[in-house]
Amino acid sequence: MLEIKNIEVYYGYVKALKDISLRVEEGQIVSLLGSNGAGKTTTLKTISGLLKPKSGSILFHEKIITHLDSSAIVRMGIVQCPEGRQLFPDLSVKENLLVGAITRKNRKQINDDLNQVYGLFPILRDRKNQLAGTLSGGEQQMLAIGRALMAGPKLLMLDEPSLGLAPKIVEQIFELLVNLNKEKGLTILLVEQNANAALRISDYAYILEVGTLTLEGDAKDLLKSELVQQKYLGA
Amino acid sequence: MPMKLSNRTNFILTVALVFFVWLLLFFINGHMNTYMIRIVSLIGIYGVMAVSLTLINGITGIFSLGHSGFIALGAYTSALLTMSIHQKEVTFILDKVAWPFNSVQLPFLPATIIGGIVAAVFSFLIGWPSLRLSGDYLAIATLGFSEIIRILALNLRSITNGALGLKSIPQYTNVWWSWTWLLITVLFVGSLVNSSFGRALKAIREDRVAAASMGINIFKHQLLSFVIGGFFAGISGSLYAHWLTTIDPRTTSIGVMLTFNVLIMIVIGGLGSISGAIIGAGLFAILTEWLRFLEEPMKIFSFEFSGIAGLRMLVFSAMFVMVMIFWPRGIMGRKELTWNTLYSKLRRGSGESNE
Repeated sequence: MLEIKNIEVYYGYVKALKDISLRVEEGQIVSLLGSNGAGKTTTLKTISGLLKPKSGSILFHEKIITHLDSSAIVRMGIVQCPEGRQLFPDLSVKENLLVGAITRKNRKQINDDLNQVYGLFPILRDRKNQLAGTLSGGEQQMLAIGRALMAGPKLLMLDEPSLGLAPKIVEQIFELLVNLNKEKGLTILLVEQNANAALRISDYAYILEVGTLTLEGDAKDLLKSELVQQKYLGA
Repeated sequence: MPMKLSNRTNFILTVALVFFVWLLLFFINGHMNTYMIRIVSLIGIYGVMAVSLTLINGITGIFSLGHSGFIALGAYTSALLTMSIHQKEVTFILDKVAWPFNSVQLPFLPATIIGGIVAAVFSFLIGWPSLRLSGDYLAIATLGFSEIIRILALNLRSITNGALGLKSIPQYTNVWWSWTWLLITVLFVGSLVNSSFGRALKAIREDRVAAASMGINIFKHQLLSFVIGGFFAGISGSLYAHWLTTIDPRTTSIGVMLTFNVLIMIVIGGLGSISGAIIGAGLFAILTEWLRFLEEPMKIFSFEFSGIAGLRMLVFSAMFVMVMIFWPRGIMGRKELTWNTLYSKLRRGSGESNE
């Protein structure tokens, strides 16, 4: 579904990603793991067109999307749920969700999706007229995921959905991701620092270290691998 | 009781309010002195200026300091179009007036609309390069552009009559023109803000990166908002020129000072609120006039004071500082004064007495 071939990304003169190649197959949950500054967020931003790679190419359904702008990429079905939620704090919950659907025109379908998101997160329905900035951390993460779902994604990219949340809420959110993947067939690319939780729900995983991919493999194997356990799982 | 008013009730109440305001204007126009009528017209003009800047600054979050440039463009264009050909020949003593202004005279309405279009075209030309900047840099760039427009007005003598400015512009602006244009501006900008385009504008204001990752084309949206704001600024400039009857390229006439005055209106009213912008415009128009008594000779305890010119602006600034201390986000903040907010206030009031 998504294929990245040998991309290199720079911030000014600083090389942030060195020769990264990865694949996401349809219907999978793929995780991208690594510590701070490894380049996980940079990878996602490059896929969604917010950053442009200096070399290499990105393919979605066998079409090159490297040079499209972010709105065209969202329209193709690649939607990013950005790190730290990045909601629109002075807009209401409902307005935040509707902004998610900004690239779509069919009003009836948007309305159906809105009800579906309310079905997934009943708390958002109760608070639809409240300003997004007044929600709790967990509710904000739900809203961020709901907003991304409103764009009608085929590939949902989540940037550290567990950031700053209580373990119980992290569990809820990961459970939801599994459900979205199993029931709706949504393909998910997950960026996480919480390697343990991410590997448990993933099919495949890549590990990034200071801009290079150092390890990849089936998530089950990586969970057992001694190297991963030492470095990321703290065992 | 329902939580919210139905759309139908909302619509009827709004029509009733407009009707009531128009009745009030009818009364003011018929029974008050010319001075009062002029101030009421000015409130309408300031309202158009403030609402158009609210769209740019408050709703889209483009910190533009170029508003007076667009107002000046609208003012000059429409004034040159409505002045009689003979009047223009008499006024232009430095250089002869250039084509097409030496051969046309139009009624007020088409001249105003052309003024708006000219301002919109220039805001497109200015927005195209400068909207690639953001924050303070954008503010400086737009300020620079409005100053360029003023300097051009000073030097393009065959079009603007240079430093002498345009005199005896027909005094067309009355309460009806200014308030009708205010109504049009509010309806247009209001429905824009509540559309999905408006939501995208607000999303850009709140968080550019998140807005971009939702697939909003930031540059296109900002540019369109800038151009629409520029159009209404041009309209307000036309109204202002035909209210003042003389315009010239001094900073205090339709130069940078005007930008800051409009900025004061929308900050007092609440940055990002259309109803706040109108409240701010009204307060500004009324206070700057009412405070004039401070500049007249006064007698306090048998001491005679001669009037101090500029004292009212000093007092006004002090009041402005007080507003900023007690309402840091302006009177309305980003909220709108709608029937629903009034209704829920009333309900809360009566609910407490029931319990």
